[in-house]
Amino acid sequence: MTELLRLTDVEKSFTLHNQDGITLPVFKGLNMQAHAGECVALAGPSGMGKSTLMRMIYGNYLCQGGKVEVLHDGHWIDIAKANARDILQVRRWTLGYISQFLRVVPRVSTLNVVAEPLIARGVDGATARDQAAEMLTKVNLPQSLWHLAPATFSGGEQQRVNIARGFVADYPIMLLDEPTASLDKVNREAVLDLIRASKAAGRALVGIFHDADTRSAVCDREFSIEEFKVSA
Amino acid sequence: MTTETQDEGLEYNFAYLDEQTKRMIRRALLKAVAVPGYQVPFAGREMPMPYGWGTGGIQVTASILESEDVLKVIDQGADDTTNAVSIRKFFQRVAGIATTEKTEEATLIQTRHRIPETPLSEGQILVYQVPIPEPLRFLEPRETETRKMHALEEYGLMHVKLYEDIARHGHIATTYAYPVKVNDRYIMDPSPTPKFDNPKMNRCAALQLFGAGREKRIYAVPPYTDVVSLDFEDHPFEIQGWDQPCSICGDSTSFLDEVIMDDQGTRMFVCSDTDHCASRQAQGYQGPGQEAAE
Amino acid sequence: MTEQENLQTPLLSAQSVTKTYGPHLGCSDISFDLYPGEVIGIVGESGSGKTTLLNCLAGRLTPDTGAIFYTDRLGSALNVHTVSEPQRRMLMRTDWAFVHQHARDGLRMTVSAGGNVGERLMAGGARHYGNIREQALDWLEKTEVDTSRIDDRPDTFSGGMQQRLQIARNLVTGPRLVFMDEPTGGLDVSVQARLLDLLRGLVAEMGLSAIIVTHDLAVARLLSHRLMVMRRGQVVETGLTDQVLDDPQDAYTQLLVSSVLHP
Repeated sequence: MTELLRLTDVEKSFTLHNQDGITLPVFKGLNMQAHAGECVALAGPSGMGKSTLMRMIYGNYLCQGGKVEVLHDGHWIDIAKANARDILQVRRWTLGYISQFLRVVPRVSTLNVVAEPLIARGVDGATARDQAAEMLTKVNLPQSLWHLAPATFSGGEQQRVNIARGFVADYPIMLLDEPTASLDKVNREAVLDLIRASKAAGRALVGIFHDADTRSAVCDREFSIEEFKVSA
Repeated sequence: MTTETQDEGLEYNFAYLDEQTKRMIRRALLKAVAVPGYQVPFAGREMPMPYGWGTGGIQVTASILESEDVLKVIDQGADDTTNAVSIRKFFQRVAGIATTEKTEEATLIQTRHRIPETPLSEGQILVYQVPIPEPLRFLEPRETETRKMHALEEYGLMHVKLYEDIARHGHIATTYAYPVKVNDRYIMDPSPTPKFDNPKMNRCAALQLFGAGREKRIYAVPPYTDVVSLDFEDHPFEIQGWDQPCSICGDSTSFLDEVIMDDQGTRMFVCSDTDHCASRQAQGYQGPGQEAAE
Repeated sequence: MTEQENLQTPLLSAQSVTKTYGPHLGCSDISFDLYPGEVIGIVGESGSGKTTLLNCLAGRLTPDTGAIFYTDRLGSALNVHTVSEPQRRMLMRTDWAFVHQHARDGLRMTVSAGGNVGERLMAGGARHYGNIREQALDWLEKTEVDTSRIDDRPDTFSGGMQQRLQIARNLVTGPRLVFMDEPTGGLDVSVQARLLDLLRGLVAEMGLSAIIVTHDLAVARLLSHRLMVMRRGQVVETGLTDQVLDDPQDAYTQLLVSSVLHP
């Protein structure tokens, strides 16, 4: 199996300068890999730093040490050291991230929110919106909502917009933070189908899944970050 | 050279200004002629009349006047209005030169707001009285900025003014002080002459000098210089026309003034250029007004 | 130069830019590169020197030391402050655009909306009234200004409309680099949202590079790829926008981020 993501000796802590400069260690010496065609579940109790790790892989949080390497366009790029422009390139082409909550942009319609990652890659607007529509159909979002801005949607609807936006661009590596948390059974199944399809297409997925059913349905293995935990 | 005035025995230097001042103004004039359309600052003097009465034109005239010159002064085309009569008399007294009302006899013509209908010839000089020399002033109030715009030939703003005209009136409604480009370089305000006269400035055989007394600027158009009125491709420059000829001389090609005849609002149109009208009458031309009176 | 190489050459490069006002520091020793298609946000509180820096970058203020280079369409690097004045002013009305915080600083208040948009076209030599008007209408539409107001003066417009008109006036000539000084400052929240959405769309659609000064972190997050945080004339933190806002490292940035309700 081809390795697509490689974390080596990763370290994270938060220093709170405005609270007497205390440092909160999170984890240290963490090693992890993800391969093409597999879905890895990050496991461990709440507060262990699962979301933090995911954000570090995405470049949203900085690493205090170690390497976060991503296979991008045939080359390994270390997200921990890469400059902002390179990280943006990696995010555009290689690395997708479905966060727990949709960060809505005022006034942009659902269809355009979903089409945006494609448009950023230079796909023309009409084609991008066609693909976005296809993806919104897959996640069962009613067509009557497509031309509205998602700000007023319910939690489950926003979550599905977020998922459609994440899966529309076929990123080789996907990061999923509780993608099914606020979904009912039918819609959860639709998302699981997307994950299965991604695995079959040879993508690597790293996810946080709260319920065991979902985990066992799509995940190939669990990765526990508990053993790298540093206590304060 | 001094001239004795007719009354009181007071003596003025020839043409009122002292020789140093004339030299200074002539230098500015030379520069202005060398750089057509460029506004040359000069140290304007206090003249024995208020600003707005032609102090700029008078200083230019005084600086270039010679004893053998024949002077004509017009105000809105007429030789017989207050401003024209006063200035003519002023130079008669302080320079003792000959004056005329005939365009072709004059060597020097000072004008307020018109160019004579009779084509000017080589050797003649036309001096304009200018109130505001800066064509960009009403769009850009900063003098530092307008100077820079002239220096760098940034003239987009001038077309904005014409654009505004068309947007508001459907056509370029500027009828006087219509901006021109001189010698394909400087944008120039032709003083508040009607745009009717703009074509006369182009490749004119006479030297044209402009004096702004209050703002202390001199500029010039040498003989046979290109003077192009600004316009848009789809709204080309046009001069105004009248649907009737001059009531007195019957000319249908000259610039006409509207004259209100009575309290009922009866109107008549007559040549603004009095000399032109008079000479046509002398040649036997008659307008519809004259025929009706007979 | 090919497209690909072009993207590897900074569009604007600031090198150790310092500007002081007598004993008062404007900005100190600031260096960074802006690449084509990139949007950089400069954030910081009032008096942190962000506007001083912007004015230096845009050629409106001369730095005491340091230099700023702009790569023109032919690929040559021009020193913004030592090129001739005609060349700099030419850049300012063709390749560059500057969106002021107060629309009245960037508009001609006595000229109609159409004339305001058309000015840059006419400055560039456009001499066909019909075409100029057509482009003005097109841009009013793009910036969501009611096209029936084309002949009205901007002093009859609301603040949001004035700001959108200013943007139309700036973008009509297809500039490559846009400087914005608090583009949403002074507008109420719903008007801000509309403007942000508009700017975001135009920047993406036209592939514009932009430098945006703002004290509003939400604006910075929405519009910029990269962020520079300034304090007392210095850049205290720089990086990917979401990283700086979500995992700030510097004490001041942490304070700034924690001071707003929803960054």
